[in-house]
Amino acid sequence: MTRAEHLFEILGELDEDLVEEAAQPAAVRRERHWGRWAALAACALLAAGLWNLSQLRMGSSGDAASGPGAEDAVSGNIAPAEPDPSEIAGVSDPGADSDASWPLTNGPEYDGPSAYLTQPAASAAPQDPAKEMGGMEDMGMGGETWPAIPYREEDVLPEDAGSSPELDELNRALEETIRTGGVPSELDVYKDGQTYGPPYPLISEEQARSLLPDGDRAQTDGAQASNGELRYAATSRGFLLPCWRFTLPDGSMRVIPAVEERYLRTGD
Amino acid sequence: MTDIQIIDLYWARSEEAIAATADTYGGYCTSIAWNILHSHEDTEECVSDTWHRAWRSMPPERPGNLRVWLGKITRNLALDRWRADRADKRGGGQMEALLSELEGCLPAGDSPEQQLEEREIAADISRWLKTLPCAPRTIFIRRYWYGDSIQQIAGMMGMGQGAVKSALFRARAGLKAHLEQEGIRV
Repeated sequence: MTRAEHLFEILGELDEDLVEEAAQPAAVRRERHWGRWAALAACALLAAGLWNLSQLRMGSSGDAASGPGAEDAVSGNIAPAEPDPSEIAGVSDPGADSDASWPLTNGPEYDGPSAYLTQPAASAAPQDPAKEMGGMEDMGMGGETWPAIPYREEDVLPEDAGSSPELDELNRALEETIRTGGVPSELDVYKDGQTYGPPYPLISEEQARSLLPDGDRAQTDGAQASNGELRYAATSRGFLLPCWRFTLPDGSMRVIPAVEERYLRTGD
Repeated sequence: MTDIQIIDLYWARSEEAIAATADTYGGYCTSIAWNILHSHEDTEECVSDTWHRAWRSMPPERPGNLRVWLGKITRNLALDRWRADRADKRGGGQMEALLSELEGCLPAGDSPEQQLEEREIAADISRWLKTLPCAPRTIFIRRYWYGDSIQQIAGMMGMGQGAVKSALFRARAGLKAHLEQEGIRV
């Protein structure tokens, strides 16, 4: 019996409550669906509240003031439907919605969005963290919400410059993933050891190659070019992004983010 | 039929007990055996052996969680059968892949005096698993207790396969570090 077989046998003796808990993983997904519906309901409430507010404002300043309801409002028979600002702030908290919708973002290791919302970027001057993050954007992908990743082209560091135990571990995991299952179609983005939003759709190697400057792209064509490699790369803001890395004949590297551009918040 | 009613049937030595167990937990045990054996014939025999083992064990045993208790029996029987059949290269490579992954959890070192009883090690690993967030813990157990494929787990959890593999990698690295830290050699 090998040691791995022995370990597999030992794992058979795990606590029954752990095994029972894992017997019903669908519960995790149900939570996720519940979160989506809750987020939708919250959005609907917010929209209804804002619509009421705008109607009231129109009514008080425009022609509606002479309508049948205006007299009642002025005389106090109808209470103004002014929404409570704290309620609006609560239901529109993008971090909270995201955490409820994505079970992997719950818990101490995976609360990327909410954790990030409370932490200013390490290298940036103090500013509104939500603004820095770019806010949560509905990218029209089946109603899912992806956060835009703050990113500037000059942010992505060469792999050796951004070396860290976490980066090395991620790249080893990625190599193993590619070796055993091929190139994945989506990957997480990390910051400070935590996943940042749901896994992001990736662009293909060819798409990434087309984004290289013309001169560099020409050098990657032909027999001397090395193939692009999917790696995690560090940015100066502490993000670990999936990137396509191309090595030019002179040994220099070009790194193109593998995350679809629409999920990157470029510029300042 | 509830677990208590089924167990009572075993204790009353009623043959209905096996039919009731097969009705309630046939699918559960079959999937565990299939994940290890990948052979319809072996899986069927393994599940049938599980019912017989349960019949011989109750009484005197009265399991607290019948489903997990039956699952453990199935898993152990399937592992024994897989070992016996290994020469025939059955298993579709799934079991080999799974064991190859587990090699990554094994700490280096060679000190037999540090070897603990299997149950003690399992209890220690259980404690460590409880420190993980729910999702990676579930992924780890679905893979290494239930023997599910990466694809199955991804479907179950509503995640991409890359994310599952990544979570498994981190969990294995964490387990290895924990075993090394505790000085446990498997």
